[in-house]
Amino acid sequence: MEPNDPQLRDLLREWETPALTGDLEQRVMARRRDWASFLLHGSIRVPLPVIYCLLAALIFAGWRVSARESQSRPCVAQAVSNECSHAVSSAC
Amino acid sequence: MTDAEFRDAFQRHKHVVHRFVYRMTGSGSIAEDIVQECFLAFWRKPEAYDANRGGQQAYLLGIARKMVLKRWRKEHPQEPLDEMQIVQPPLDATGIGRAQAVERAILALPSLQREPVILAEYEEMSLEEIARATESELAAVKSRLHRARQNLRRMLAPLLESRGVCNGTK
Repeated sequence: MEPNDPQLRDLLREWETPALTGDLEQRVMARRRDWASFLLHGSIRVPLPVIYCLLAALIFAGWRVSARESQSRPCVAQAVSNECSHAVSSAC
Repeated sequence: MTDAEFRDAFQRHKHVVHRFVYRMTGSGSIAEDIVQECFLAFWRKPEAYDANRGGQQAYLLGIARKMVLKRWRKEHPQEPLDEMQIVQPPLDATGIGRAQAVERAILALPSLQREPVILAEYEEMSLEEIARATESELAAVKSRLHRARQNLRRMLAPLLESRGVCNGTK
């Protein structure tokens, strides 16, 4: 407020705020350790090298799974072509 | 941020943040909720505070202000925050105390006019500090403060004219 307006300033100062309730501090301190709240709003720092390792592990695991699936897939080539049945069945 | 640092910040700034939010919203329960969320936001993300850009108090007031405005926008989606042309009529203060009249007058101001007047008048912050807390240009703060003062003088004219301002009833 402008310093040359003391009348208005004095009038405005007549409006006072109520005091804070005593349990606010307890509520704030308790919420800080609230795991449910952390699960919703929390964040953690993860170094980039750790993320790279996790990504590499994930890609490797995906590759292993797909490789295993292709090995255990039943041989259906026999039904498709009679001409190469001998070669395919020997391969199977 | 250590536990001791957080407790220290809470003890030092809880009252100023509460007074600001209470005067912005006019509600004790909303004020306490916002103070709580404001300090929890500070606790969860202390790295967002940059001491080079102003004091901790201005930073916390800035968080509280954003929460107040977010809440206001949710409740009044159609209304602009700062009506440039708004001219408040004199307040009918019959039957209410002077403090209540002041409360009504301040709550009748548009939000962007209310915040600088609260920070300047009640918290005695400088224009630069207000600009930092409200993330506004200095010129905008001056302009809003000027319009807020004009509106308040108009609204509270009956009380200002009736007598001196000291020793009023509350």
